Amino acid sequence: MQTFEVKFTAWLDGPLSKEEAVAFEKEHLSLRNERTDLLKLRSLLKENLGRAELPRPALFNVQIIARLERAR
Amino acid sequence: MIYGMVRNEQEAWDLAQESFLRVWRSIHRFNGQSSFYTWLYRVVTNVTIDALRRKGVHGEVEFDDQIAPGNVDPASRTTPSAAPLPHSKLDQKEIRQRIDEAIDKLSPGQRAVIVMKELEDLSYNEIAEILDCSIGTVMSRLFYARKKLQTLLRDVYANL
Repeated sequence: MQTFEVKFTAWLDGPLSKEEAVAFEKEHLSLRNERTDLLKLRSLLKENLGRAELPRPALFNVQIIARLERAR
Repeated sequence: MIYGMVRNEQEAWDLAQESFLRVWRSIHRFNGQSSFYTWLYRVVTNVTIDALRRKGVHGEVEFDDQIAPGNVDPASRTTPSAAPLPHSKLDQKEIRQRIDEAIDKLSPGQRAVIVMKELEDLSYNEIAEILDCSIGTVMSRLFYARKKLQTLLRDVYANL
């Protein structure tokens, strides 16, 4: 049997079938606002979690090669 | 991905180098049972989680997926955010800082699932394979990590 946490996550992320999602929402009426709220959180994280570019890629490569040489 | 978990640029590049070294040293152990991509992710994740643990990062106990009871009301507001109420829109630097602070409060395992799901867009199955745990554990960790971040960041995303 799935725990509530697992079912909630499946409901939020989409893997629940339409029927399962409707049943889950009926069972937990307070969830509708929660979805909007958590989707905003997900969007915030998606936009801000990563960091785009390596500042000095050539140096990074040289350092790795040097470390590999030392490790030989 | 490493930066997403450690929230420090220099440390992230150091760990990326460490990961490359680890891959180079253990490539003979790659046996093709999973895709190379999954194996690579596993090495990188393990290096990063080990580094976080060495730093003493365990996350806070609230919403800890290891100890929390099975049934939680999803709409519960839990504890209110300790952050000051917003009086104006936050700038990008402040947003990043708030996210860094919030991620700091997650355990290494919670950070890993959040980054893999929200940033890398991996499936539950891929994440479970990388972390060598069940899909249920991945989903449960996601639940608690999101709940914690929701509490800590609500005032940030509510004003965007």
